Amino acid sequence: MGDGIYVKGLKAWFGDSLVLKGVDLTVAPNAVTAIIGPSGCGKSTFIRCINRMHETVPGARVDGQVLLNSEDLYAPGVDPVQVRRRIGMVFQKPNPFPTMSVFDNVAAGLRLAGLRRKSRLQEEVERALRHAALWDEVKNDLDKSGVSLSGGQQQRLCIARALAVDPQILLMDEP
Amino acid sequence: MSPGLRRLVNAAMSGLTFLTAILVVCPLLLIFGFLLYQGASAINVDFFLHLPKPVGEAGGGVANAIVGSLILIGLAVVVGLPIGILGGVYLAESRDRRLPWIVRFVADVLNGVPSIVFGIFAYTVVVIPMRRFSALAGGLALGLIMIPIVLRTTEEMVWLVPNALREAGLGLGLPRWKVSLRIVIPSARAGIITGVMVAVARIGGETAPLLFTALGNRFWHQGIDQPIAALPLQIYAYAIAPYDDWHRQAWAGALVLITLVFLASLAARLATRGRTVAR
Repeated sequence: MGDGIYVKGLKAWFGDSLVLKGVDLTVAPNAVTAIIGPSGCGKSTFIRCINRMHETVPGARVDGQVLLNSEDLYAPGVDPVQVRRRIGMVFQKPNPFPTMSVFDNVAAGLRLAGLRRKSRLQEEVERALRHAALWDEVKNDLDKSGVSLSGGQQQRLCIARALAVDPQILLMDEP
Repeated sequence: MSPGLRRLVNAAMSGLTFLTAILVVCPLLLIFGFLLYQGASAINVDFFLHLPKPVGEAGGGVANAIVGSLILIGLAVVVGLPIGILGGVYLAESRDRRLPWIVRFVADVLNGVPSIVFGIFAYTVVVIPMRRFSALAGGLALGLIMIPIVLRTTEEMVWLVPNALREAGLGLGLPRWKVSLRIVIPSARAGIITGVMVAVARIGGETAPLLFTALGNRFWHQGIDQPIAALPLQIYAYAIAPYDDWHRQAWAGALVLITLVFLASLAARLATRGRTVAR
């Protein structure tokens, strides 16, 4: 698949306050790596730097290198949208799209990326829901609203949504 | 404070707030009741289906004015809706600080500008060059009045959409504009519709900006480049005329107008019932 992630001298700011003071880390490919630490120590901020989500916060800034397949994700000319397509993310709190059904939630990423064929969409949605261990519970309720599910089911829905676009890396923030 | 006194103050204040709440409802009920009393007798099927009759002939209706008002509102929506909604989304979604601040301030000022000024503006930029009063000029004036109302409500509603939803979209690898268009705006839809209905209810009753733009017309509409009838204008024309029959028609017209505004507000309420997303 790939040759892992190399983080070199990663610094992150919120406004003027420096919250990550030079992090170096190597993450092995095709493995599950957990980052642990007390609350407020910057775990979320750190993983949000890996798919360039940190910079979407007003006033936030990042410095340093994050290499994926020896390509610097922070090099000039790299499109953060493309980075996020390859590195998926599941957030701390479930955040399904409230205006969409279960099916549409999972299909959202594929659809908005341009996939239109109904049969392909159905296949991909089923595959993603199976991988998130949610398929058996929702296969008869695919038209129901995503927010009608229970909290745990909503989070698995969000995992399925992230898996559907087939990311190389999946970042999970205490899901 | 002794318990007895405290209870007394509590009762007094509760009574006072209740009384003021009643006072808020009173004017509407009084106006509506008075309109019913004065205008109900002139309302019949003809009133909704026929053109006005010449002076001296009894009967006739304001059908052309109702249709005209709808056309004017349609034109106003074409002008005001896209600008108001897209501008509101910009205000809420932009990361820039200064330009949104200026736009917000200007919109609030615009909201306070007397409506007749919008009429003068439309008169200057449309009526004078075209050398003719027209539905187009009236629609422009009304559309400009809509912009700040739609803009500010859209902004509020888009701002209420939880940030987690934006992050979910961005995290899926969607560009910002797609996140705004496909995720944020649909989530705020109910609130935006309310804003639009409030704006429509407001412009539906505007008279001053139409006086020297749409002008009024005693016949069915003859194209948007021609003078057009409108309900508020018709009421105005009838009310200042010296004929009892016309006065009755004016009351009836006012009753129809207030009913339409009531229905628009009601529709807005129903559209948003229990579907607001809180941050």
